[in-house]
Amino acid sequence: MDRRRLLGPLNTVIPNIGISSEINGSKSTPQTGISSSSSSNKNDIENFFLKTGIIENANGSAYLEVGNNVIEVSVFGPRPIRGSFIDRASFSVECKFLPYISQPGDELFNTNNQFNNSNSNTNANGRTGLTTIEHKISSYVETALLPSIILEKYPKSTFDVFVTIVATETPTYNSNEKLMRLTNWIVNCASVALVDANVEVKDIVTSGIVKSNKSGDIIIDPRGQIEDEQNEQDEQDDQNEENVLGVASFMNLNNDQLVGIWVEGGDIDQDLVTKVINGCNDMSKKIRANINSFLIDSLQ
Amino acid sequence: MSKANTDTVVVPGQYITPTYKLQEDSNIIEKYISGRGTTISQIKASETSTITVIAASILGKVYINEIEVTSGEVEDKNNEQKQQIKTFLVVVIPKSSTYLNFQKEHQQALSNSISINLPKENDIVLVKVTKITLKQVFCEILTVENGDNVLKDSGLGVNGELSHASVSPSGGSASLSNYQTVASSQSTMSAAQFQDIGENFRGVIRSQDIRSTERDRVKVIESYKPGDIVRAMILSLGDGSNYYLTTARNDFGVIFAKSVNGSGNLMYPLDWQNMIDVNNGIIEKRKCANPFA
Amino acid sequence: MTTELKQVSFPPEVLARIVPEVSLQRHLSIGLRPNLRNFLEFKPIEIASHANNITTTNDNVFGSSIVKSGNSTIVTTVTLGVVENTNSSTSTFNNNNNNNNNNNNNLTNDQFTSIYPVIDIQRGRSGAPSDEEMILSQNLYETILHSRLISKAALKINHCGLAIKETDINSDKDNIQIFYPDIHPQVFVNLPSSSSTLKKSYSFVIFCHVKVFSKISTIFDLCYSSIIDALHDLKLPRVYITDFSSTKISVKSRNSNTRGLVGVSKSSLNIDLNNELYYPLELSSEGGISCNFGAIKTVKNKQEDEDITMENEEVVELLADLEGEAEESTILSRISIIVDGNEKIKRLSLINGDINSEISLDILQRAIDVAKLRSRND
Repeated sequence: MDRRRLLGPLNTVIPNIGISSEINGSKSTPQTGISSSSSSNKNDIENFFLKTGIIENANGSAYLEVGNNVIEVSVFGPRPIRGSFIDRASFSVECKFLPYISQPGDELFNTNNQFNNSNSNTNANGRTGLTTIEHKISSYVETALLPSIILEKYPKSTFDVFVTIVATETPTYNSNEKLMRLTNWIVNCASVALVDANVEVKDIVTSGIVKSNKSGDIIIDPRGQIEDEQNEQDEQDDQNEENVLGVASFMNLNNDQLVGIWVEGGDIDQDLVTKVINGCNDMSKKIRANINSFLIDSLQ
Repeated sequence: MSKANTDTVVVPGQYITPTYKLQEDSNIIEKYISGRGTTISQIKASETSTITVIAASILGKVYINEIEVTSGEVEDKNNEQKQQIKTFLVVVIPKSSTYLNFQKEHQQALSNSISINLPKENDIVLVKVTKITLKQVFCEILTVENGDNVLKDSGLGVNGELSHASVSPSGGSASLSNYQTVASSQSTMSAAQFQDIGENFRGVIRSQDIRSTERDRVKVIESYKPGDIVRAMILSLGDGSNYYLTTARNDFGVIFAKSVNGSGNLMYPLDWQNMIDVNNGIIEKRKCANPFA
Repeated sequence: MTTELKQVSFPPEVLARIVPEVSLQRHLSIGLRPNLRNFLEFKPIEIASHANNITTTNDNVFGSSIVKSGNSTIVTTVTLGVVENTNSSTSTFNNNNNNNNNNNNNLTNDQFTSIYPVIDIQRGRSGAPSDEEMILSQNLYETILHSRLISKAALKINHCGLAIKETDINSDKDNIQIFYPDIHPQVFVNLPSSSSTLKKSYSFVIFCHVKVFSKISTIFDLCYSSIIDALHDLKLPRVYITDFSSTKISVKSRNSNTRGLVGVSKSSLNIDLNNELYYPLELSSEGGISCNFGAIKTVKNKQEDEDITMENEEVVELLADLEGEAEESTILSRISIIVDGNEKIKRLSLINGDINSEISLDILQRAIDVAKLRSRND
């Protein structure tokens, strides 16, 4: 029993989210997930909204909306650490969904707190620690951002990045794709938060996401539904499983150094990985250009 | 002769200048030194060659100023070719900090050594004395002058709305460590302990660093008392827990102090070693800072 | 010395950190507060309850509210749990239902319930909740309980539905239908009256998750208004019972001749996502508005309009809606008041934390007047 949080009477049951008793059956989910820009050229990058400096008690912060994803990143640091002398900074990332949000892929990872998991009768508000999915995102973001930070300039201190996912897209498409898309944007948002915190970095890390279908075509910044529709037109078999998804992060001005890569999907060979990396690099450059002009504007 | 392209805004990673440049139509070599807010990076120019450039590491405006270099340093690289070398310091001033905004508002000259976030050697800091012993003064670093308050979040209210009146912001409750739930921490060994909200960097002023004259006769108790706000300079990074600070300069020392161990009123300096509480006439000994810079 | 000396000066943020009391007194002596508000001026609050789409995009969220004040943002979400009522309490419910909500005077405290809030303040740490979060949660729980806002009767689930699975013989596909005793009474005619599942009575439990971004002042007031707003926004769904694994009783369904099966032995509770059947939570009162005040002794430099120069005069000033480091750390005499729309005081907390700045009756009266005025304006 958790004595530190008010989680209701002990015999409280969390009801399952059932079906709707409406005559026409299932609840009409609002058609979301497609932004206005998605109708244009498919290699365009979805519009995103970015704002910095909204959190007053953090050293730096950034807020990003893309599609229905809402991400908030706060950077705390440099803060002191004690103990033995450490000549450079320590860096950590913690990524958390607000407790009511269904996490992409939780049906696979069987996260304990989820409402659609029938054997969980716990209040999501009482969750301690990170779920598998949050761990996965946290460690990717940490890996991608770590090489960019000039840790030697910050002895005896720590940087802590806290990512809060305020909203996600409704799970109308492949959860893996949703998860990777989210991760991709978290990396971009966290980089901007680091800049806002005046943390000295070698370069701003930006990342991109691509999807490759069976025939090997690379689709930059896939947005679920559009591609799925196309798939249905092609053939109706399990093409989704044959798709290869890739997220890769770069320091574009530092010789395009690759700082993080995450590829998932069917048959992956070297050729495809190269294609994926190049596609992600293209996207990361476009995002970088946007972020650059945003930052310069913010100063003037 | 100083070059100051103050209007150029750079983003982190952006190249500012190569480290060496030949001036046009002359034999003068321009050497650029990477200052605060910049870093040196190797950029691939072609398949085989790389160029060493100075790149920005923070978002801000570029300032390039010529500096005088003692000839000794120049020689080691270029003494064969008798070329003239001009040295420039490249710094990036961040978009904002508490002091920067203040100086802009009051139309003061912007100080050159803008500090970025972390107290470094030779930074002037404002500290609060927490403990004194016969040999040294323990304190916490609250603010870096020309920078910001060290912590954005002072930790007020962490133990309850009013608890800070009896408990220091950081103390009191169980450890609020963020260590266990952090995904991982590849960059440090796990020996490091994280501190609580509102817990500042700590510093030590050794008795021989309190003033510059008669160092061996300094009495700590006649110089600082717990609760005093002291202006000091960072000597070195010190050990795992403490920075080493000095107040051996006229403009360093107590700037705010209360009489009767903090229970009285604010005192005003009479001279460099006496302060007076004007309400009740108590005179106490302190090593005062000259309030005029 | 004729050369002009430049005095060492500190930016306001720095002064507030190193000597908060000096910063506060210097501001007050010129009639302003460190946050540049007037003494009794409140910080504006923006409430965006219906502008957010948290409720529509998350099936498990039934009420939500976003409150902003300056840069501080509070996101409150309401999720639901269900608890089985014990027999003794069921009888009181039935009595309550007959009562009119207006004569609250006859009701005792144990006929009211509260919410279960979990406060999460973004301050760059994680792990177990801090003292601050725990105190705030408990405070909100007690405040809402004792302000008699939510009666137990309002949370009772009156008509628990049944899900009936029909197996269509032709297509071999399962078709689930949900029936409610009040909407489809004919379905329930056939049910054995002894059915234990339907005898059980349930109530909702309200969980609140309050996420606080950019905390710069005491936030009880903001959290309170956010929770009250979310409760106004809250719509309770219908609940139905399923259990298809041990189905024993067959029921004749309304619109087909196939036999439906009803689970009775071990049931599981489900929430019906039918929007049209959602009903708003009945609150016993408006909830009101929470205000906080602080009292601090200041030294006033009397203007020399009058003939004799009265040099200094010490006055205890009342400040509304404390904000910022200087005020938060220096002002230890505090008042917190919640006043509802009928100018009734729902909560009053008073801490005389500072001997020099005691809250006199006069100051308390002024604080209450201001709080009442504010509740009227809003």
